[in-house]
Amino acid sequence: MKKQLKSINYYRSYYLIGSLVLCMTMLSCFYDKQSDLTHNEIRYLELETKIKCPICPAETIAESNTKISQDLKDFIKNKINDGWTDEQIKSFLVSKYGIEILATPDKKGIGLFLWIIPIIILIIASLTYFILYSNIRVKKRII
Amino acid sequence: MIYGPLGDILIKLSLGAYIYSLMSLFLGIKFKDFKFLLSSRFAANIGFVLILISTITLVLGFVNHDYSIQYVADHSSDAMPKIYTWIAFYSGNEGSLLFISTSLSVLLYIFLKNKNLDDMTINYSKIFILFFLIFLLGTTAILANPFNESMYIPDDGQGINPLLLHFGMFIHPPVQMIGLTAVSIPFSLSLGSVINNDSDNKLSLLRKWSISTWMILTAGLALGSWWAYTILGWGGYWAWDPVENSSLMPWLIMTALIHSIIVQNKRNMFKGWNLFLVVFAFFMAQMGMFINRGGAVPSVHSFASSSLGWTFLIFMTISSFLSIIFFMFNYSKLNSPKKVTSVLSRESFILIQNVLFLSVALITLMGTIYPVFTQSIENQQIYVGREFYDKVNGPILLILMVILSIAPFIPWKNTGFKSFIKKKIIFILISLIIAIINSWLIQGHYWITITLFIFYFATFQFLNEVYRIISVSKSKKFKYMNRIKIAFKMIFSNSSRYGGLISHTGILLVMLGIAGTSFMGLEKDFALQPGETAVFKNYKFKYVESIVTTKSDHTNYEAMMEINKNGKFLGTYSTSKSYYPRFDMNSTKAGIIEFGLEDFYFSQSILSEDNSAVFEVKINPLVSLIWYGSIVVILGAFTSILPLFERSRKNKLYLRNEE
Repeated sequence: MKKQLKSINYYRSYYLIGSLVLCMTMLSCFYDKQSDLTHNEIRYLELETKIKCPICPAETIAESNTKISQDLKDFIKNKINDGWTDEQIKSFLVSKYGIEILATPDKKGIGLFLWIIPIIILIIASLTYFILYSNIRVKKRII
Repeated sequence: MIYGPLGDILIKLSLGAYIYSLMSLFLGIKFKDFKFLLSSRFAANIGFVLILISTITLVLGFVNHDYSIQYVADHSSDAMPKIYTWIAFYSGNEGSLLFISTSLSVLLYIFLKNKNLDDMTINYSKIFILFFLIFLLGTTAILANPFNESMYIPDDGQGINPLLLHFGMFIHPPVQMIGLTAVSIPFSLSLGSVINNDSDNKLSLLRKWSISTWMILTAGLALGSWWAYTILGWGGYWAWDPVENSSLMPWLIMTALIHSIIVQNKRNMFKGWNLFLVVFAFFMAQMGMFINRGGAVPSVHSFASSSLGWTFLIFMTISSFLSIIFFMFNYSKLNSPKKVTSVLSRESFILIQNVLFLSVALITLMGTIYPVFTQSIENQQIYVGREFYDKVNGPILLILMVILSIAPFIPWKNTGFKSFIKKKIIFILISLIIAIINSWLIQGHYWITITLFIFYFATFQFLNEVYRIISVSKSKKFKYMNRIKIAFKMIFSNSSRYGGLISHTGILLVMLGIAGTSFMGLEKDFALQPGETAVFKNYKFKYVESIVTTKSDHTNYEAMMEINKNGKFLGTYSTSKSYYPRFDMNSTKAGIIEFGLEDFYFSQSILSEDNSAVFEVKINPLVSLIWYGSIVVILGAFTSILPLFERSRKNKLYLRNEE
């Protein structure tokens, strides 16, 4: 009995050491974005995925390589450096190119319903769960 | 040359053989006559051989540059690399339709192999598969025949889309197409077994087909994202593009299905729910084909777009309408007596998981087709991009990860809340502490803390399971090698459970990869002159020179870069960009260097006259975990369906009696 316990501990220690090593590896892999990029650069990276390339079928300017998206990227960089806010840049581009320049519509006007859909779906989903679950219970009680 | 007319005749003969097979099947079922059933099976086999030869004919037409076929002239050229002529036949609409039909007939052949002729479930299922196959084959033969002759024979063809000239072309498109068509087999099988009231006996077959289909779909998704990462030159692997979504949606539903089948197997519940899931999965697969071909939604995957969307739309509408009617008529058969009794039970968690996967699929579907609505109602073109999907689907997927880490370790039927917490509290506490320390050290976003917590919690659970296997197999008698053997035996004796756990481990790795790139990825543009050096994080790189080579169909710009990490010289790497004047298109080949789990990624975006260039440089930590994780997922799924074929002695006996 004692021997068995000993051998279990032997394996458990292996397992603990293994998981600690794993965590340490993870620790070395994760680092912070902030330390290597300035605040404006992070803003630019986020903004460029929100603007669509006007002539490509379904790519944002971050993904596309066309001339016009290069120009738009430069425009956004310059405006960020001039101190414009994200909203200002977006609304300027919308006024110039129309709402189809946005990769994802805002939560207003034509895009509002899009953002409501997930809530509706999740409500239906939880109802489905409870119906499938409780239906069941009621029947059981009757029986 | 002969390829055009030959292929044309073969494809039509094959269509005829399958139509004959379907009619003969109907007669056989009606009169319960084995001669008709046997004849139907022979006809299906003949159709299979004919369509296979027809596909080979098309491939040979491509290899021998037979430009008298319009499709060959449109999708290949003399200048394209020789090896790509073997696979260029599925690069366009007509050829890929032929490929889809061929793959479905191969699947039908595998499905019917070693099955009894008097197995009515299989016969009923065959009706549905044949309907789908005849639809696909008919569309190919009549509306989009790849063997149509050219009006005049050009000296040289148009050439293949340059984005498709990549190693991924050999595997990703075929795997993806086979995966989407394969969804029809579980669909047909479960409809057939409901008609024959035989769903309990056919459950293990259904499970095997569903998991194999899911495995193929997973491989398709993983290969697709790997391809996007290496060739499209923007450093990402998933763009929530409509066509990507359309391949994700069937995968999501199949994921729900393969889990709820377990409940039906173990607890004899969820019969109706499973049928609903499989019908929905088939609907989504057809939706994928429609989105890919119909061109209803703008996408970067417009390689196979055509005017054929309406045929798919009509077939999809009819089939889903009929499925709903079928569902209503058979509702009484599908009620199962046993019910979920506790929230904290495996079946309840699987139900939650199912419902959440369905929600993700529906949200993705809505996001994909929302632009169609705005276009038709308000005549306003809009796009739905990654911001929507990330914000909405991201949290749901995280919840699913929590379920992944808990559910496999919860017993069936019922478990007390207190005993559950007692067992898990140590894991929860340890993982929470490590996650908090971890994200405090890097001062990360709170999303990172949550993700890491879930990851550690699941990892601890999984390691605990590994420990359990080892501790069971340990014994003084056995030596080290034998212990490993015993552990393997344990895994294979309960292959469905351990296969599932392996797959889940793979999913965890993929999740960590996604978290690493999206939370920790760095990106910056550098404008460099030849000979200039730049520093980014702990990398130092020097733009050496640019080499321009001109070939008959494209010009290639290659930039050489010397890379140092932490002051250590790692070597000279190159990124290239090719311009194809005939398509007015650029294809980029990024320079990707893996250092452990971290990728250093660079691609050139602009090249000026004086050879100065702008480079997009990215550091993607943990990205390779996505590819390795996917391999683990597929291996796990494969383990879970072992042994692949159950021996059916009955079949041979039956044939002997017949003789």
